[in-house]
Amino acid sequence: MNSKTQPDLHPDAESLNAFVEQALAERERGEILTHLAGCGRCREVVFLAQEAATEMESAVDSPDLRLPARQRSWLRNWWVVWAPAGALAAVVSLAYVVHLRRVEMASELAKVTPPAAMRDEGISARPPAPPMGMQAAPPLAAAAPAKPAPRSMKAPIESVASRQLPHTAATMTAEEASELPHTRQDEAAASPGTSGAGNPAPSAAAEYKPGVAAAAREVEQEQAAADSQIRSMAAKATAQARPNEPATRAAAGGMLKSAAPAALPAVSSTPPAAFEAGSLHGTGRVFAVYKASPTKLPSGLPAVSTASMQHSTLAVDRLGTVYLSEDSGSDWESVANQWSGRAVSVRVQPAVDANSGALQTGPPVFVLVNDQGQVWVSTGGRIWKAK
Amino acid sequence: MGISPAQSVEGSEGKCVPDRLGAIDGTLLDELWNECEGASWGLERGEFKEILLDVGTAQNYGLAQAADASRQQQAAFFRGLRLADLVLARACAAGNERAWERFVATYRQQLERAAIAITGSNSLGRDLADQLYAELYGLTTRDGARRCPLQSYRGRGSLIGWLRTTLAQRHVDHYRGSRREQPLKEFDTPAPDAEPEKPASELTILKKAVEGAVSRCAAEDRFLLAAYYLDERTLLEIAPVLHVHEATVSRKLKRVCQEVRKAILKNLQDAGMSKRAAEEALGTDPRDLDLSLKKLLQYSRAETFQEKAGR
Repeated sequence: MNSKTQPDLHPDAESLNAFVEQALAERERGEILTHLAGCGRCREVVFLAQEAATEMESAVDSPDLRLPARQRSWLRNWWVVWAPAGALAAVVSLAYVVHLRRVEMASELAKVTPPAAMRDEGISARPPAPPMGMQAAPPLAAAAPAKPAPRSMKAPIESVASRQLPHTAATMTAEEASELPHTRQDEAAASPGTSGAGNPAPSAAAEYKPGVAAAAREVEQEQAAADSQIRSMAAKATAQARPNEPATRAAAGGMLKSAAPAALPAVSSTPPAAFEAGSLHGTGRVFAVYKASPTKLPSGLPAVSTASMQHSTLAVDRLGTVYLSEDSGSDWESVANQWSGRAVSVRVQPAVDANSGALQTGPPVFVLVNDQGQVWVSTGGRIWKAK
Repeated sequence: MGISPAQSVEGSEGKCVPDRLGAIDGTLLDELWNECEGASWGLERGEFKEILLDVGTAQNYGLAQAADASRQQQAAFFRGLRLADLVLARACAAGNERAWERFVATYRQQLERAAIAITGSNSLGRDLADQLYAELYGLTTRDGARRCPLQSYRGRGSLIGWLRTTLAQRHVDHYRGSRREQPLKEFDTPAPDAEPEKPASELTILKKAVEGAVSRCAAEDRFLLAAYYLDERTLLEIAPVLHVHEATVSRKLKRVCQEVRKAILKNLQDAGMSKRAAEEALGTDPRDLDLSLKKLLQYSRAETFQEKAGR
């Protein structure tokens, strides 16, 4: 139906628009509606005009009025995301910088501090004050699993030691864990001038150990035996793990498997005792692994604890037998049992007056601990006295 | 405002005193004059009064043709007008330059947007808008006189709405006119009509029943049926035209269909069919019925409209 051909049949634009805008009275609206019900042309006109009105309203609203709202919403949403992300990044960056500075400071102090002064400082700051000198280094190394310290020759030691920490935590047996608290407590009192199980300063041990040539020979021996011994220790530790910790056992096998090759080059390039001390502040397992790895005892059993002082080295095997070597581990002889119970660990400790507990200026002594936590002291490793 | 534009002025209060042309209350005229900003376009108060009377009498103040408008009904009608738009349109039609500047600044861009929205094409929309704009500017003449479609605007709705509707009318008329010029598609030879399964008498009864049911529907119900089933408009499109929510349109459609079905069944039963036969008859293939819903929905166009769009 065309308005040109039938001009008198359609309402004009005024009426149709007034109908759409509800500007008509009921009578007029009814007339228009009646017409629209039967006229496709006018329905089409009405719907087209209505669609155009809707599109124009949205077009007017969107560019001028809605854009600022969108921008605010966008910014607001992104602030919600970026605020915590930025805070987290700031915290991580701060922690990294602080850690880096502490590692460098500890390394520098370890390098330049004289042995006597370091001994004094280590004793005086013993119980609660780790940050000075040698005693600060192991915790720092332990706290930075993947961070090498490039400005010091101890960097590889710290790096290797720190790499082992996760594995030690994952593979420590219950038996070894029970030994850990008093071992840690005793290490804090160990002399920084000597190396051994009780020495918490790997870098210091590398510098102050007197038998450097002997240590190099030990390293060569370690290289040959380390791989097989690590794997056997890992398997044993896994077998000793509690049955209700399947995930721990699985992790132990897997991680030690991957850890051994990475650890070997670092062990071969550093004194073993220093390495043992560096990893002591971990949870103990890798400490035991690397402590035992270079020691070949006459009993054929792996050593669970060793301690070196000058040319003398003490080692304890798993049965509690104590061996002494005066040629840096080439030849071993059994030490007569002068203690009760089963020896579980040996270490080196500065000489301390038995009555006053004050530090003495004499040479350090060997300390033996049995499975009941009792302590014996020896100056040369052959004669032991209860402490 | 004593009465809203959507309300019927027939029921408004006041005496139905027949009012003569030119008898607009002075106070009301002042009120309307101050509202319309006619002085901005160089319009005088007397001209404004003539415009109001022209608009009122042309539509009989919104009343039926035979009815006489009271003073209150006239006032309600005048107050329902878009006076500012009306004065602007008349000023433009009279060739007032300042009014044209305002019109161009206000409506030129909207006119183009509306045309693009209606045609769905930038080029067609701009062409359509330019064509209407030229007409509005009075470039067309009839009998030697400059003719402006804005003269037909009477202020019942907004000026921009009137422009949109005018654009839509032009577009629909153009589309319908040009569609006839398109070549006919080649259709496959239609299959011969199958013999209707039902006897002719039954189909005749059914046809009358449908006609009777649809014819009794209200105008709005028939509009709904036509818009939804014939034009295939969506509920979302129908709702703003009727100023209801689309859910309301859906409910109304469902109700209308149920009522039509009931009415058809009743008509069939009134024609002598049993209830079961009547229900079976509702399953008849619609193609067997010689029935055009388009024609059926147009049956009751009692009123005719004067197409007064300026051409």
